[in-house]
Amino acid sequence: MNAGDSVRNFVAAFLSHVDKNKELPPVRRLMVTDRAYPFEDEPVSMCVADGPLSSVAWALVCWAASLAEVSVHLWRSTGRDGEVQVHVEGRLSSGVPVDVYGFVAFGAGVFPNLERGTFSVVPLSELLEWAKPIDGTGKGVVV
Amino acid sequence: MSAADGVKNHLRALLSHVDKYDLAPLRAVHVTNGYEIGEDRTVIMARVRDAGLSPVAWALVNWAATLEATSAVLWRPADGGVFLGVKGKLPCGAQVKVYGFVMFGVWTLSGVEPGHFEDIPISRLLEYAQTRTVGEANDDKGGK
Repeated sequence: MNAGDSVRNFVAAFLSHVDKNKELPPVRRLMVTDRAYPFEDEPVSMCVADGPLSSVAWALVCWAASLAEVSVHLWRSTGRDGEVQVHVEGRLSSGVPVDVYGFVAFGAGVFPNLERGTFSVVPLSELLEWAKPIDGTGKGVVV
Repeated sequence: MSAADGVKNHLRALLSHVDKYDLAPLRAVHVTNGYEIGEDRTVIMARVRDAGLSPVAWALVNWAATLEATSAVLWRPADGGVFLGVKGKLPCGAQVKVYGFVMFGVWTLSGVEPGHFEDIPISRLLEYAQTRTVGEANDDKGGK
């Protein structure tokens, strides 16, 4: 083991976190970057879900419960589909900062007031609400 | 182990490989569970630290020596500098691509125009690894 190898150590921190928290939803894609490069994002970022808001929120709630210093935000992509990314930022048990996110298709009343390219901080309690199954009315969430 | 644990399993395989061979520190790792990586089934992309031609080539030669069925490439995006890469399999069968950005020493690579892409033999990487310029003399450890 090389103490100066931060990517290696972040990978080890991630693995030890998922070993300790066995109920976490599986990760679909994960990026680990060396913090020596100033323009990179959080050292560990991972996509854990895409689909309806309730299932994305549920996966993120599970992750949020395992992290320290949690914050939640939404970001609506400027891309063609303009999908919404729901992000949970926090720290692994070892203290390594992580960004856990999922994609929600834009449309059908999901975040109708969120403009493309907009960033919006939301309380964790809101994420918990979204994680509840949507009722039969087809009504989405208004932010 | 289920397919859903792909990312976790790939990371575990990568970590034990890096530790076993004491490979040079990485700048970044990108791992997927396989469903969205292009045609060639690569599930792990690892980037070695940016450095001169010789240290980047050394890092990749070392990786190549530890992987099965290795091939190497050299490419230069339309708008940037030169990259070198190797592709092979970890012992668990997961396909990995390791690449690096050449910060300097590029002048020893003649004829690499923007947009160039070339399969190269591993022996060429070894040649590059042995190419040292005065500027690289103090930087031959690949950032390790």
